[in-house]
Amino acid sequence: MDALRNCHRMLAEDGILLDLHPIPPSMHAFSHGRDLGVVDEREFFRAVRATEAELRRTVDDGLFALEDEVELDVIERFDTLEELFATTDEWDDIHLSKRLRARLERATPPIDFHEQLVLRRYRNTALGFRPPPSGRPAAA
Amino acid sequence: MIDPEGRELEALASVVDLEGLRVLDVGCGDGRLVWRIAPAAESVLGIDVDGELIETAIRETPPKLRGKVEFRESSVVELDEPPARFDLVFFTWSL
Repeated sequence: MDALRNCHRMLAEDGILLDLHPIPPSMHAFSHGRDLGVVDEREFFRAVRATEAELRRTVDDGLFALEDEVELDVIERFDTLEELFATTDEWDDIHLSKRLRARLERATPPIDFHEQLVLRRYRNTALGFRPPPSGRPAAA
Repeated sequence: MIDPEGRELEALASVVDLEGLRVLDVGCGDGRLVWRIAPAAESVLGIDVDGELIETAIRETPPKLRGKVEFRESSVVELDEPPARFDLVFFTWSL
């Protein structure tokens, strides 16, 4: 994965890579403590799983080593319905069902979307170094 | 508003000491986390492929942070910084 290899290059020896992203279960929408329903994140989580697999490959390749992991609940708060729908309409792979959208349209703001995230800390390792072919020393 | 309770920063503080670090925030969006990280860090470069968000981040950066934060429209693949330029790379919802 080009992004991770470029990060490895730009990181100092023993530097840290942090990755924060949402994980299942899908987020729920709440209005004043009332659960209005679940947001459809199936498509989004397929992309998350693919990305996590890429990152695991860089660990297997010796570029990074996983050191720590914490999970956290985060709220995305919308103070108006206009703000909420302007945001959700821009999401590509996260969708509101017709039923949830109808409930949101009748709900009283603020609306809170509760999301589960994972934060992982990786250490940059020197093992990503690949010697040049034929055993010659690398150019300075 | 994302994370009004500040749980991201709390989690961040539990896994890394930001003091004096040179940080790259990938997918910085409108800069909200860059501003939270910057007071402890030595410097923070925030990048995002969305030019409008980068413009917002630059415009709304608090004056007291302007000496230590920078924003650029870029992907991490295209970013051409010297080797070992950063102590910490932070992917925020963007890998």
